[in-house]
Amino acid sequence: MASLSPARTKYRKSQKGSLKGNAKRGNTLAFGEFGLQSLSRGPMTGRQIEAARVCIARHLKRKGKLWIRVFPHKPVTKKPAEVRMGSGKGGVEYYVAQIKPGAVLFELGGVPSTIAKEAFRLADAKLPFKCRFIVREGSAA
Amino acid sequence: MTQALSLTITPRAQTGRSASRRVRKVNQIPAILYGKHTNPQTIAIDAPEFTRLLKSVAGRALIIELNRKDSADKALSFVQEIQRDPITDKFLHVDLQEVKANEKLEINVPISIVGEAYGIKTQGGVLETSTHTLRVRCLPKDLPPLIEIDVTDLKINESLKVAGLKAIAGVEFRDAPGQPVVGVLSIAAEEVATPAAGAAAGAATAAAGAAAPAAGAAAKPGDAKAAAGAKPGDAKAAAPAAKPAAKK
Repeated sequence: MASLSPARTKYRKSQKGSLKGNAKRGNTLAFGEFGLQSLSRGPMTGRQIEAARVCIARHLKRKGKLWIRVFPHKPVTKKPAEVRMGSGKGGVEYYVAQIKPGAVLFELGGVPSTIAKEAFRLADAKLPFKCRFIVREGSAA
Repeated sequence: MTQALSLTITPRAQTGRSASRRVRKVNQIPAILYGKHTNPQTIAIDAPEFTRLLKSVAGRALIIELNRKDSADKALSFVQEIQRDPITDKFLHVDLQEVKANEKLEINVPISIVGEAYGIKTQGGVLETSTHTLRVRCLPKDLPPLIEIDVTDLKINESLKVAGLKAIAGVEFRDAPGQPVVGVLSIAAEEVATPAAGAAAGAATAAAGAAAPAAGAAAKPGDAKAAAGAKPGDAKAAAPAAKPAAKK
């Protein structure tokens, strides 16, 4: 499975940083009628994004339009197995998107509410945090 | 203008974060009422009453009749903005704009899609709504609660722009004429892109696999696992795996 990662980064490795507060941007529906919103925080790897995308796409059966609102920009490093501490930081293992509560992860349009809800329920199972299904205000659904 | 809904408003003297929090604690929503002919007024509205009102509004653009608690004055207004907590969905603040019955107003009106597009029914396309609300200018009596857009004749790779919308008596569209509203997209392009990306990634992984044995030729079978886990272009990650084996 192809995992998402940036094509080019300014710096190869980054510090861990903290993940405080709620999502201030990207916390509302911008494109579609329905969305999957995170309710807790944590890193979301490129593989998890791809797994959720595949899950949604398979359920939709070539109907509807999907928007992925998050991208794994942050590199995560790991030292190889059985290596003593020291000798510098490990190599980049994978990339993650840092998700805060309120962030809209995926959006869907052009499908009925029931299909969108089921697709997001299946996608939610692939993700490491609690999510909820949101609907655009005034939507016919 | 359809039947006006009513809402009771109470004047609010204090402003700021802590005063607003106190208002929210007693199940009210801090709000502001402004208009062309009046000074902005800070007000409070009852949260359950506002929730009921929004339910009857159901996403449509409607004029609301405001009843002041302290006086018998009435005013016409519409909901300009609602601020909500993105996680709890509780109301944080509401903006109400006062309007006059004989004066034109500018308001965002939601669109409503009517019919099934030809491009979806027979050509297997997907309907994309690019603009969910349209900015219109009209008198309160002419205000349409929804703008119905008929997409029945829309074929694949075609879109309906603001200039192509059906004219409504007394209503003027304020958005750019070239702005797309709805379109039917073909999903073939997306389907083709996904396997191609997968193949490219597969080729990259194969290349990394070929590089890894060279780095860890003297390594134990356990170390090979670490070397194989290295990402394409991350030769350094494969190299340390070989180090401990070489020491032994």
